[in-house]
Amino acid sequence: MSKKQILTRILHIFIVLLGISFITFLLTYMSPGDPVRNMFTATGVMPTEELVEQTRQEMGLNDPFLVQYFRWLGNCLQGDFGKSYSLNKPVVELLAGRILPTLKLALMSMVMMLLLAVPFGVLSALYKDSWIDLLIRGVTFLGCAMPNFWVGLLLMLLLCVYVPVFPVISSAGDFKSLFLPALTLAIAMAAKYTRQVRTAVLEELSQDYVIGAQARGVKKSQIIWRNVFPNALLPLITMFGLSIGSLLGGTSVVEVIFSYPGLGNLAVSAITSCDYNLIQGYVLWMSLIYMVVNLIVDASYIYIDPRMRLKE
Amino acid sequence: MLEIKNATISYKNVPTVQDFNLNMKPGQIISLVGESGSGKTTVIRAVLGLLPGGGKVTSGDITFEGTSVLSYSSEQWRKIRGADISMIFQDSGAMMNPTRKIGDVFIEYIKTHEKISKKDAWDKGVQMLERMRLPSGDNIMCSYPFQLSGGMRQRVGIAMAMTYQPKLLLADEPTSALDVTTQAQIVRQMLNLRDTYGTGIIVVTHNLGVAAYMSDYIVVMKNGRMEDQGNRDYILHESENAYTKTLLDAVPSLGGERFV
Amino acid sequence: MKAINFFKKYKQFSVFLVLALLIILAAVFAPIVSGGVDPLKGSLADAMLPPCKEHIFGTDKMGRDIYARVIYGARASLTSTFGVVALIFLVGSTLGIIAGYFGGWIDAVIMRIADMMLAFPGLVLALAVAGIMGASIKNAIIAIVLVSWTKYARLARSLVLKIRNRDYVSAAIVTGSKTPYMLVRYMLPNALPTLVITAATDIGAMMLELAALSFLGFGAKPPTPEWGYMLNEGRACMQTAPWLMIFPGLAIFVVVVVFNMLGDSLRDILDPKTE
Repeated sequence: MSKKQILTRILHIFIVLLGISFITFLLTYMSPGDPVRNMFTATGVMPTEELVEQTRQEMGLNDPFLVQYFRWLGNCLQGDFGKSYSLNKPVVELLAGRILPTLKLALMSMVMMLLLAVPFGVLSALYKDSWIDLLIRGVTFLGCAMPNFWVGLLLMLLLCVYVPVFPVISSAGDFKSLFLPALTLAIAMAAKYTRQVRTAVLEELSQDYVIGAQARGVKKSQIIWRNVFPNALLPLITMFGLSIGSLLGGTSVVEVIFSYPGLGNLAVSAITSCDYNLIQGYVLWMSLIYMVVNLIVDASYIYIDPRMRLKE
Repeated sequence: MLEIKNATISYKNVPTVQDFNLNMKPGQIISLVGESGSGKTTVIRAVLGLLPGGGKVTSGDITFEGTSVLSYSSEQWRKIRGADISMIFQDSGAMMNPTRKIGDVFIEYIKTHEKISKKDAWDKGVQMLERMRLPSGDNIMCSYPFQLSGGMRQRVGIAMAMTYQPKLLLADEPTSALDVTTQAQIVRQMLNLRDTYGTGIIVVTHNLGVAAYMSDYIVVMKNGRMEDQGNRDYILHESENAYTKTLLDAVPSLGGERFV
Repeated sequence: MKAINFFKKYKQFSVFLVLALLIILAAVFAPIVSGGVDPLKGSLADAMLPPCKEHIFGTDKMGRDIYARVIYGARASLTSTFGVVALIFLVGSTLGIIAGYFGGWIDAVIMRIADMMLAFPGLVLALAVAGIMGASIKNAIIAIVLVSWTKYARLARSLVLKIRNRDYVSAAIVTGSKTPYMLVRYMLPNALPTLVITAATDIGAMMLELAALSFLGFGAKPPTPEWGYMLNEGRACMQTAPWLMIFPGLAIFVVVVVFNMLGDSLRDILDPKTE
């Protein structure tokens, strides 16, 4: 990707973030819950009408919508996303503390997914229409139909309750507590990706250069692992970037099940307690992460594939 | 050297080529001419054991240097392909992995046929490219296939195919994707191969003009059968076969005289 | 006779069509299928019973029959899923066809909004929307529609663009066909088959997303039986009463499998090109 394209993309990210911020702020503004009352309820105070009104005034909640929005936006740009009502801490601080565990979880589940999807997908493609292909396709089909939270609960039941290998609550942050949540996410993704890997490998196998290499007497293993396989991974990189989105959403479900101290878990509790500042911060951060990751993915794709890199 | 006896080749039990016969001597140049779908490509694919999905020689035999190729193990096939029998294609560039440089493809190929260091394989590749009159072999080795022109790609393909001086070269529409000037160059280069290395060549083409210019012997194919065959002169001047005549009429004349 | 031949020809489709209809019928006739057991009433004396003769799926902590709740749960899950699919289908296709047909600034506005939605992790926004607007099935549906319509809009737009500039379309416009007529008579039929296939294959995925929202507590509200929420309830007493989470999960799984298969076989019939 040229410098100009990257700059355009960065500009695009800003525009999208601006749109997202507006939408979330608008939703919050129109929402039925009253943050001030919630705030007091969270601290266990039964506020009087005057106190509520006074606090509203102090927090600027009585100003016109656009004034509120731009004030909030200006603060966000300076890195100040406001204060969480329910946890009484700056939003940035809360999010920053949770971001690493979530990234760790996402990365780990990606690695596990690849370990499952790549070998099975390749196997399925190489032995197309054999019993092993049918088996793998059947299993992945069923896997696609399983809600990931159910998979998580079943894994938990099996490996925490019946055969207690792993802790039920994954708050420790070590490998053992990371394993089950990551596996849960990985299984759901692997079901989808095994099929994608299969399709990509089949597509590559049907390319002319495979026949060319065979006609030159190149070994089958060499053709598959040095030529077909790397090429099949190229289109997967793009899908990889797009799946970051569902992965980030998926982490919240899994984090809740395993009480894993990540962003998703934080967001769910923020939503339940109508902690709007925290929700807004979460949404903006997530979209930023998602878009930056996709930018990196696309840029690296163009760097990796010589056809894209050298195109005039 | 190569003998095809009464071969029938089928895909999923539907015969594509029926009762094909050919007897080829070393250094001979034979053309298979016909419309697309006439089964000509299937014949040379069968000679190299590279019939796509589900294709099989269902009856008859193909022998190369006295042994039947139908009984070859996959390892035997591998050793013969690219060494004793080579193949070039309509677009040899498309027959190379587009994400690897020509040098990598060349080295991969050389290293499958002999134990040799990467450096020596590289030198051998450059040497072959230059022998095919491609200037600056090092540059070409550092290029990706899509960075070269069609004619250059074809010459790279020929250079690779000739690395081990095969006894038999199979050429599948080798000039069809090229402009007329480049076509002529490639045709002359192939004729040179026979003169220099004594390579026997089977050319598959729909262009009777090219076939007439190059070959000693011509087989005309139609709907999977041999419609007509004979020495060059017989096909061009004596054959009474109606189909051969229509093909001949389709060849453009140059300056009142046929380009044959 | 024709119908019989059709079913004979497309066995897979027929089998899953029958299964899907059975599921829908079970939801419609829930009072009969559940054997007259009320899914909302239970006696505390029967709380947390493991599967037995009277309660084949066991009971929950309020003594309610899980089997009856799973059967009644199909109502909430199916109606909300069909609602979501119908809405994204309608909203997305309409906007897409309009964008493709009119082009210009209308196209630009619609597609830029769609781009923005696409540049955004779906479930994250759905979570935020559902959460901010409050927990209810209606809001969960709105949330998912809000993030999912773009797919249909893009698809419909590209399908319309494919025929927009064909000669017969221009001819129809020149001969004075009115715009609404053009949209309904030419654009819609052209885009419809692909859109229907997409909708059919999306049913399963939408059901899973809705269940995820309900599971997190942003969908159906108690005491309405709904599978996602039942799983949430079952999670708390997983160690002592695993049947609370096994059966609702199984219900989601089976229904999604059936609808996915139905969607796939429908695609095979209507569009044999793609695998």
